[in-house]
Amino acid sequence: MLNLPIAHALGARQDLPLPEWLFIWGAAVVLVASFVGLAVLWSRPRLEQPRSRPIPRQVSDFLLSMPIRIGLGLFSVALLLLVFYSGLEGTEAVTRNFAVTFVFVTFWLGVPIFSVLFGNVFAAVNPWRAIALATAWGFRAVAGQPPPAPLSYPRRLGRWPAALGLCGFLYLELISGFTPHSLAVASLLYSAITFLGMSLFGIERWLERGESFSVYFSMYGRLGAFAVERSGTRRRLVLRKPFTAVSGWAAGVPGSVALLVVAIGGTSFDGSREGLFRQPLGSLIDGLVNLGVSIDLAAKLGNTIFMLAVIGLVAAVFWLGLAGMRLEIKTQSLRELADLFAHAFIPIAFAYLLAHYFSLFTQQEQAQFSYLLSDPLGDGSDLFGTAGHEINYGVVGAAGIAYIQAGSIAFGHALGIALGHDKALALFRNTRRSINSQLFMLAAMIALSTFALLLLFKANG
Amino acid sequence: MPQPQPDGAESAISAPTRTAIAVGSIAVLVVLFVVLASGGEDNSTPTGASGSAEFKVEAADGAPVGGVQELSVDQGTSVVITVKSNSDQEVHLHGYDIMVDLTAGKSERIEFTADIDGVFELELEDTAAQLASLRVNP
Repeated sequence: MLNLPIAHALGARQDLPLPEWLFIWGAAVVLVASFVGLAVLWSRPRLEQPRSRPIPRQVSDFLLSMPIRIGLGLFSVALLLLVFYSGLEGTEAVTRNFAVTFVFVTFWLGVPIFSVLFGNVFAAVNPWRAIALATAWGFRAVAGQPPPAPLSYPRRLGRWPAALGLCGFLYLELISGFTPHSLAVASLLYSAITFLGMSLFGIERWLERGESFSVYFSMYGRLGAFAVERSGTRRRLVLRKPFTAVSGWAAGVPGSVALLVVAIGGTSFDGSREGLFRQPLGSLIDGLVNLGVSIDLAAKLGNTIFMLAVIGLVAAVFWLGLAGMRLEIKTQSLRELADLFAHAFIPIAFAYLLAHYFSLFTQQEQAQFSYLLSDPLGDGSDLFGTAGHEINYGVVGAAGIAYIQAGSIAFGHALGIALGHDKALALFRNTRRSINSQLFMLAAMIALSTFALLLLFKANG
Repeated sequence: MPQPQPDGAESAISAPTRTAIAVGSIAVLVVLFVVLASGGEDNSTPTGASGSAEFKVEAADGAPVGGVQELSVDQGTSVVITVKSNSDQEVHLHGYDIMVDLTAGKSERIEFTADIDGVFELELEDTAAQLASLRVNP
């Protein structure tokens, strides 16, 4: 049965719990940074307007040139095909099949890390986009006219399809008890949905709103250093002023908050199974088995209930922060406030992800680039002579991992506060009122950040 | 561009006060870090590289006798885990990647130096039933 925390399903080494002193210290940083931050932070909005400067023209032109774009597109399509092939034809041992580590670690954890650093990199290595653009180009070449105009995407749908898809992905990863085969089937199914979405609503439109991975990764990409800017038909790579592209991420797009809440809730759920909620979850599953439910169904049902509950908990914390803010801002509805302030939680979502999966990432990437690359099907082949490599579990020690965990939570929290503070200043242009408006928001952030630290403190204890 | 300040509330906290608060809070955090970090290390009592530890783990009908055991050692300890089962089994210690074939009713020894920190599962390979959890403290 594989509906275990993903680190248990894939990794042979689990993290030690966060040391008690670091837990206390992390919580102290979160608290002090919160309240002192408000007092000493800047008093005029600084992050509201996207600011950037172009990088040298030759570098930009080279990176955005057609051969590079085509090369990256082919590379991404090849990887997608390899996922299908190794999943369908390879070993059913999850730790020995290329597809599993590639999808759940390299892709799912690696792309957010690159996005936070460099911007929306997934647009360049999105295999579905590459296939769709090539198809559209082919259509124009053959038919001599552009493909038929797409339907207009209903505004009310917003990012809801992406949020729903994210729930599906989390179910597959954390609850379904996937095998390489079922993972490949799910990938094929998802590819079909994506092609359908793009052909109905237009390639870029569907990628901006409906395609879960594009929407989710580009959310982190807002924090990254680089962006592609268009002026007329020219595209140019620019270097952003840090954190000036995040504000307004959710504005006027329904479902954005849902996506963020699911992202934070999914990671929390996986972390909570390693400790904090292990016993209650076990009791729930036992209870279901006693009611006559089969053990497999009971495990799936119990886990699903807990995942929804944790997502609900995160949503409730978020809602409380906004409801509190309405005491100060009576002119805006709850929904408008959610739109205005949701982006402040993006760094917190990333901090959760990094804290929970950093060690898994460092371990599994060693496998990805050695034996899983040389022997993607797990059938004993040795393409690059690295099939015999083993994971070195000591590459980052427990102390290093603990510092990265506590550090990322503290840093994500501080950045979240800064973003919320800046938005409040833009709204009020008055330091006192904006501080008052942020008190409940702060309480919500403190609750989430200390919860993250608590999960790490209780993990695998 | 300077923004208008409708009621001048910005002066609620003066600039020197802000700096003082910032410096003070950083000082408090640094002190807290030093105190907690040194205290934290005192709490763990390392047995040293020369320490050794022995454990017994038994499986009956594919399940651990007396539930999943929690074994805890310090990094560098020489560990011996004696495993026994009433059926033929293959036992796997993850992370250290040690596999041992068990014949029904016969004890086997898993010997190794606990040089990787972390939490590791000892399980029956065929059914993935966990027998014990080994915790190696840094």
